[in-house]
Amino acid sequence: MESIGGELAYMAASAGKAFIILMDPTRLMFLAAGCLMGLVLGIVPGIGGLAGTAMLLPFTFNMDPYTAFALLLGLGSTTATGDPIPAILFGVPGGAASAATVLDGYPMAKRGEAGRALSAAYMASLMGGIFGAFLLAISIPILRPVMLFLGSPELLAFAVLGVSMVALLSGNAPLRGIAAGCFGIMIAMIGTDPQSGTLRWTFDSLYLWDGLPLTPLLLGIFALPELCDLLIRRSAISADTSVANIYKGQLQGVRDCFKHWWLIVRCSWIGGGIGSIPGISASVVDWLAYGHALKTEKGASETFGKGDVRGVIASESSNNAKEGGALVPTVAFGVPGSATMAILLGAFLIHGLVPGPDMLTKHLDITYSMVWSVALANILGAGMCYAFSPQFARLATLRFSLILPAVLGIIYIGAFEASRNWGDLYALLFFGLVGWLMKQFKWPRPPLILGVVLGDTIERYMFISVERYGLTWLARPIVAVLFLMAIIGLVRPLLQDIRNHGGVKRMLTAFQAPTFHVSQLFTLFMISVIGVMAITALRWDFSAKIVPLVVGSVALAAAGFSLLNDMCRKPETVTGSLAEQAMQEVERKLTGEQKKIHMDLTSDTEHLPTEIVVKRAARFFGYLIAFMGVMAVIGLVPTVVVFVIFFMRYENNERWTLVIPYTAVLVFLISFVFDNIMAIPWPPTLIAHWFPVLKFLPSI
Amino acid sequence: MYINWSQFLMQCLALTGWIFLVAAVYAIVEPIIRGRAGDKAEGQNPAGGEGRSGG
Repeated sequence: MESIGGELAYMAASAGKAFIILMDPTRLMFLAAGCLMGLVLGIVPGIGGLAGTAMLLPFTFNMDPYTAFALLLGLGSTTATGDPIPAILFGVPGGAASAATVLDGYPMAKRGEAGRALSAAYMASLMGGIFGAFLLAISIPILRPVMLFLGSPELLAFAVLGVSMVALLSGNAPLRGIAAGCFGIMIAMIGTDPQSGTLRWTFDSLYLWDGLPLTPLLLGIFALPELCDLLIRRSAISADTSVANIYKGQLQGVRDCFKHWWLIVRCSWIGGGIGSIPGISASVVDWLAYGHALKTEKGASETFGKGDVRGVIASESSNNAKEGGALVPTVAFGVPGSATMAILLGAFLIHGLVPGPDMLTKHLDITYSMVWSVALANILGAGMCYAFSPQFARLATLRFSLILPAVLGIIYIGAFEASRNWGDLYALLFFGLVGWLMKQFKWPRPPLILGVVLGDTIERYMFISVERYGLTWLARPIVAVLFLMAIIGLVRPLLQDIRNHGGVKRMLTAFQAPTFHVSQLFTLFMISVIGVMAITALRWDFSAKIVPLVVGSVALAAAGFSLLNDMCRKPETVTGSLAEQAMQEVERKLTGEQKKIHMDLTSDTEHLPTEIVVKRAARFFGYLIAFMGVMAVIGLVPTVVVFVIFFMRYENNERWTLVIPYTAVLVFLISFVFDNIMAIPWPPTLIAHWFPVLKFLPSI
Repeated sequence: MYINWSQFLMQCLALTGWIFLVAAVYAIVEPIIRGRAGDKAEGQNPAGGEGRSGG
C-alpha cells in the first residue's frame, strides 16, 4: 500500500515538475507557434499535419526535448482543430480527419448556422483533445508496473507487431504495405553496421556512412508528393463563398457540446482507443465515431447528414482525442500508431531518448510534459479558432501559387538541416519521386517510414536478445503472444480472401492469364531495387547480413505476390481500406438519396487525364532540379527569389503587385529566422567562391 | 540570442535590389517564354482551377 502511495506521489511530482517546465515563457511561445502552424496547415489546402510535422522536425534539433515536443505536439494536436473550418464553410475537408464533419457541418452552414457548427466543432475538438491527454496521463500509472516485465525481446516483438499492423492496416493493399515496411527497415540499415563495422549499401559515398538521415527522407516521402499534387491539381476553393455570420450562434454551439457531453465522451473514447492501435489512421476514426453516433443517438437516422450538430460533435471530438491515444504505444513501447507518431519517434531518437520503459521511469517528466503539451495545445488551438475564424477561413481559399513557393523553400532548408550536406538534397529529391510514385500507385507510405524509424531498434534488440538469451527468448510468453498476433495479422488478409471466395479452390479460379498494366512498372521497380539490395548483402559478414536478408526476402516475397495478384487476378470489387469500409457503413446507414461521399484517401489527382498528371509532375520535379542547380551557383535565398517570381508569374500569372511583396516578405523572413536567429550554415556556393565579398548575403 | 540588426538591414536592402533585378529580367523575357509555351492561356487565374492547360 505504502509503495502504491509512494509511486503515485512520485508521478504527481513528475507531472508537477513537467507543468512548471512547460510554463516557461519560451516553451509556451513555441507551443503557441506549433498550435498556430498546426491550425494553418490543417486549413490550408494540400499540406496537412503530417507534412507539417516532417517540416518542423529539423528545426527542433537544437531545442531541449520539452520545447521540441511542445512545438511538435502543438502542431500535431491542432491540425484536427483547424480542419473543420473548410469542411463546414466550404464543404471541403481540410484534412482526412474531418471528412465526416462535412456531412452535417456543411448543411448547417448553408442553413445559416455556420457559427454554431464551427463553435460546436471547436468545443468538441477541445474536449476530445483533453480527453486524449487524460487517456495518456492515466495510461502511465497503469503501464508502469507492466513495463518492469519488458526486456529487449518483448520490445523487439512490439516493434515487429507495430510494423506488421501498420503495413496491414494503413491501406487496402496489405502485401504492398508489408513490402514497404520491409523496404523501410532495409533503408534504416544503410550505413556502418554497429556489430561488424561492415559498410552496408553505402555505394562508396561518405554521406551514407552514418546512415541516411531521417529528415530528407520524411520530407521526400510525405511533403514533396503533397506539393506535387497541389501543382497537378491546381484547384482552390472559390474565394467568393461568404464567410459572414461566423460569430453568430457561437454560444449555442458551446451549449450543444455541454448538452451532448456523453456523446463527446463516447466518441473521444473511440478516437483515443482506436488511435492507440498501430496502423489505424486519422481518416478512420472520424467515420467510426460518426457511425457510432448514427447508430446510438436518438433520431439520428432522420437528421444526420442534413445538418445535425451531433454529427459535427461526434467526428470532431474523436479526431482530436486520437493524438493522445496514439502517444500511448509510441511512448510506452516505441511502436508509433501512425506516420505522425513515427516522425515523433524520430524526434525521440534525435534527442537521445529511447521509447519504452525509460520514458515511464527515468524520463517520466518528459512524458508528462507531452500530456500537458497536448492538453494546452488543444485549449490554445480552440481559443485561436474562436478568435480568428474569419481570418483562418480565408486561408482555405489560398491558391497553389501562393502556398507552394513558400513551403518548398522551407522544405529545402529543413532537408539541408539534417546533416548539412548536399547529399540531403539529393536524398530529398530521390525520396520525393519515390513518395509521389507510391502515392500515385497506391503503395501505403506510413509503413515505409515506420520501418525506417524502427529498423535500427529491431536489429539492436534482436542482437541483444540473441546474445543475452540465445534462442530461448522466442519462448518468452509475451514475445510468443506478440509474434503470434503478428503472424495472425499477416495471414488474416489471405484467410479473409479465401472466405470471401468460399474456399481455396474458388479463390484459385479467380485467377486468369497474366495481363500487364503500366502501374505494375512501379512494383517491378521496387522488386528490382530490393532484389539488388539483397544480392549486394550476400557478400557481407553473417551478423551484418542476417537481418537485411531476412527482411529483404520477406519484402521480395510480398512485392512478388502483390505483382502476381495484380497481374493474374480477375478484376473484382475490392473490400477497400478500413477508412473506406467505415465510410461505406455510414453511407449505407444514411437514408434518402444522399450523394456518394467523396473521400479520396490515396490520390487527389485521379480525376485528371494521365497525360496532364505526368506532364505536370515532370514539371514539378523539373522545378526541383532547376532549384538545386541554381542554388549551387547563387545560394538558397537568392534562388528562392528567382523561383518565387518565375513560379508565380509563369504558373498562375499572378499580378506583379502581389508577386513583389510576397517574395520580399518571404525572403526577409527566411533571412531573419534561418540566417540571423538560427544561424544555419548554408551549402557552399560557386558565386561566393568567385566573389567572396557577397558572403554577407544570407546563404551565399 | 544575438541579432545583428544592421547586417539584417543590409541583407534586406541587397535582397530588395535582387528581387527587382530578377523581376525586371523576367518581365523582359516573359513574352518570349509565353510565346514558346504556345497554347498556354493568358490572364490571371485567381481561383486556381483548370483555367490553364497543363502542357
